Amino acid sequence: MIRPVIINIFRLLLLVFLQLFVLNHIQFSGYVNPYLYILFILWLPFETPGWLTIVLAFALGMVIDVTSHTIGYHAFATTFIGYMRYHLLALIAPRNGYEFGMSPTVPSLGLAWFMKYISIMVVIHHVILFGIESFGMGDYLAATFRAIVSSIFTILLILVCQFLTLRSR
Amino acid sequence: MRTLIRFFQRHYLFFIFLVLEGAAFALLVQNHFVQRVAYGNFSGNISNVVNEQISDWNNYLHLRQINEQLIRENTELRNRLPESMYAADAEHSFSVDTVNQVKYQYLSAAVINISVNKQYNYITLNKGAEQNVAKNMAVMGPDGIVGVVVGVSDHFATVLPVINRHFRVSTKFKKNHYYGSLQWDGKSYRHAELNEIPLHVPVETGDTLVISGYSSNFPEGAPVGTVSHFSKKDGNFYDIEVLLFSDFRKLFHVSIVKNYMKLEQDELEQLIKPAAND
Repeated sequence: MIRPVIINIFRLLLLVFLQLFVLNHIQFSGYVNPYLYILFILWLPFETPGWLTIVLAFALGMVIDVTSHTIGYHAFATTFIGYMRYHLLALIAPRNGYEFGMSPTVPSLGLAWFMKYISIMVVIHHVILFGIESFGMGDYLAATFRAIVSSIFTILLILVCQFLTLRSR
Repeated sequence: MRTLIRFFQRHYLFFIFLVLEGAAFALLVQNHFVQRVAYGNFSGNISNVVNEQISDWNNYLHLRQINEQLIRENTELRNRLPESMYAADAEHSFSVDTVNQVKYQYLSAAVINISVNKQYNYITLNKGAEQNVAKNMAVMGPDGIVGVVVGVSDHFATVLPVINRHFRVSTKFKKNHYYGSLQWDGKSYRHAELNEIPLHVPVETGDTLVISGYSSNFPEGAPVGTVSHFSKKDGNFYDIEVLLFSDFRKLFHVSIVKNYMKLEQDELEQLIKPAAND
């Protein structure tokens, strides 16, 4: 029981650190800004209660907000996908449901399932985030483009993380 | 009553979601309009200490570039010394102010946090109220204007840079003094757009743009950028794209400009306003 908790706390610290000190400083042409930190929510164990997922998602968003001077932006987007994850997991469950000990990763459920899962979550998160950012500015085409390109980069980074953890096991 | 309780029990997840999402939305709306300045001071203390470390490290890696910037700036300043001027007459000699009073004072500061890829970018500097930094002071980089101070804590200051969609400054052509309003379109951190230039003004790519005298924060003539592209918009105005002199990804050291006469000017202008409305 205590092991997954420690692993998740460690993962949270690592992802937040990576986001704040590496990814937020990488800027390709002003369009691409991957938000890898949401991988923490994506990789929470299936056994995590729904309310805990939402609270953790909100807290994670607030941490990113406070440290990058964008109050409310990330919290809004992460809370949304935190709530959505609960329903999405039920929606895309394999035919015989999730078994005990399974985790939302490639080795447990396969690449096709994983891709479907992360793509939906990442795209919705990014669309909300970039949508809020450009709200009222009228430049929605540019915002959509930014959201799409950044989503692709985030998904690629998540896959890289997945395969890095595969090799170490 | 029981059905109500059961209803909440069944949908408790949705209500937790609503409450937290509502909280996030309230923060968002509030901060969208007050430009996150007050909050910047509060949250700043946590992240600024870490950011200062990172910027120290970053500075070390870019020493060569910083040196080049400083040398360039030194040369520029040396050129402005009275000794390097040809003493023709009093009218052409360079003086800071017409009545020999110091109007602008410069305070150097280091950039400890900066974003360039957001729609509302901000910069954090390592100088604050203890060094007499105050709101609305202009910030200049080695190459051109950078932004305006919007928030000050004891040791840090936040800056609204040119590459933030809230930023506006009155800018003029160096060659013929026609002026317009410079703002950022949120696309590229190297470019901004200049509005309100009427079609009869001769515009060419490469024209230099400087701060006009109508800005009370920036010194007049402070370099802004060059015209990189222009086209005729429908209506009576040009659509001008400006290549900024300041490269925000290579910004390490800046100067904060204190205008000693700004307060006096503002007070005087406040007196006119009620009269003008009558």
